[in-house]
Amino acid sequence: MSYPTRLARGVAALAAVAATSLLATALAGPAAASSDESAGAANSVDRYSAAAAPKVTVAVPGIALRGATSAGYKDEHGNVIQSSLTVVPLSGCTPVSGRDNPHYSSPDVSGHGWWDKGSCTANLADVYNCLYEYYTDGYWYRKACSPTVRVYPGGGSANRSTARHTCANTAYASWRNHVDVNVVNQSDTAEQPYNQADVACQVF
Amino acid sequence: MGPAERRTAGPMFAALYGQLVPHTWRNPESERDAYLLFHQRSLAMGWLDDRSAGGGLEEAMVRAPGLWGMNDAGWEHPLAAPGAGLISWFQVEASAVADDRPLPVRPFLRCAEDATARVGQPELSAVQVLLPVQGLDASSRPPYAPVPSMLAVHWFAERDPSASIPVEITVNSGQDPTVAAVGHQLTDDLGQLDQDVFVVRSFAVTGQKDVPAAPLADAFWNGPPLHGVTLRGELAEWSCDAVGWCAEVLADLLAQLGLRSPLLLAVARV
Repeated sequence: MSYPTRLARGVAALAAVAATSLLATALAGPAAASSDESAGAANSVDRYSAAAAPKVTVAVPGIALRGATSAGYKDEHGNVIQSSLTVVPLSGCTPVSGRDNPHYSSPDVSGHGWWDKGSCTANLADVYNCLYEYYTDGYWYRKACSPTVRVYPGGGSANRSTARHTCANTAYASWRNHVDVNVVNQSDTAEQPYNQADVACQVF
Repeated sequence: MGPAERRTAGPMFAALYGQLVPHTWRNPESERDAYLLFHQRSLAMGWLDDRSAGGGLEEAMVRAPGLWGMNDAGWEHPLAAPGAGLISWFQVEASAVADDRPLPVRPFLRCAEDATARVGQPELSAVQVLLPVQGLDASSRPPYAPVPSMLAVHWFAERDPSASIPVEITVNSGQDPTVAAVGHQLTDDLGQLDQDVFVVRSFAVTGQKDVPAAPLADAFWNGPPLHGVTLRGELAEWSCDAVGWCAEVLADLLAQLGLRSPLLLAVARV
């Protein structure tokens, strides 16, 4: 199968998912579906015809267009995350938050996290990383987090965290790999920077 | 997505085969593995593309452009064929390719070999590379460099003439039948380039049984390796540099011939 064929099959798979709005809502969480009643109200013929039911827009995994504004982040249940994912830190030392691009690692989407000292001096840090998938409603949905590991700096084999989730298909979606580093016994800044990539993996 | 809309060319993968004699000074239990060493080398040489980074302090930073983003690496791979002699493997996301530059296979293999040589002395018997040809746009190549790697061919002119070695290159496009269909044209095009880095002596259409097993899931690259050709000939020298140059040239020639899917290429000494 050629790549364009595979991509087309991915789009077809998305359409099938979108048609099953109840299923998609259940999978992506309640916030991934929204009714658009104002659009229906603007058309009085539609409003009273057999097709008068409110249009339902179902968010599905997709590609984050270049320059598009992110709506924010949601957890596995579709709840908006009130966190410091992208806040600008105010105080404390700043470690290097090591991570790679989210990537396909058969049969999973995967990402790593590690740390280096940066402006910190302590020798240990608690590190974890989480993978977020972009949906067409503009939100990044958390799909997997690594366990938190207490590790030395440098990012060697024994000093990395790994988050992964099995792919439902190999159509493309945008993913972010956020890493959080909390230096042990030292105040550090709260940012959770990320690397973003389009990966041939969708998770519903 | 067409090549113009892509932010990257696609995943690129390399596997090195042969023997690795570990350095006697190295602790075999060292946690500095292929992943760490490849990442460190990529960063040091300016090859690591950091433009996909953001968040917190890093949101507004001017990030370094580069040739690839880090994915993964290792000494062993769960999908490696038993007894194949895998030494190391590396996976990156190749950055979008400039109009007058090839896929960065030469620096990629340089980085892979450097990372491997940090822990031992490699004696390579074969090199396998997955090339994201779907990220190349043959129509965007400038008229003076339809095959951009030819701009750097003179590097190989200054070489030991006795270093030439017979090799076998298998080129496979997986489920896409393009490579087998254009095999004859490919060898003609290669022969018409003003180069002697790789001189083709013969070619044959080959199928799955002729392809060295790759540590790759079929879904990762449009496999299994159903359609391909095997080129036999002389390589100017047995080096990752020469192998990388050949891979870059073949990727561009096949893009010109209509290939739009990943290409699995293996170069082996014979």
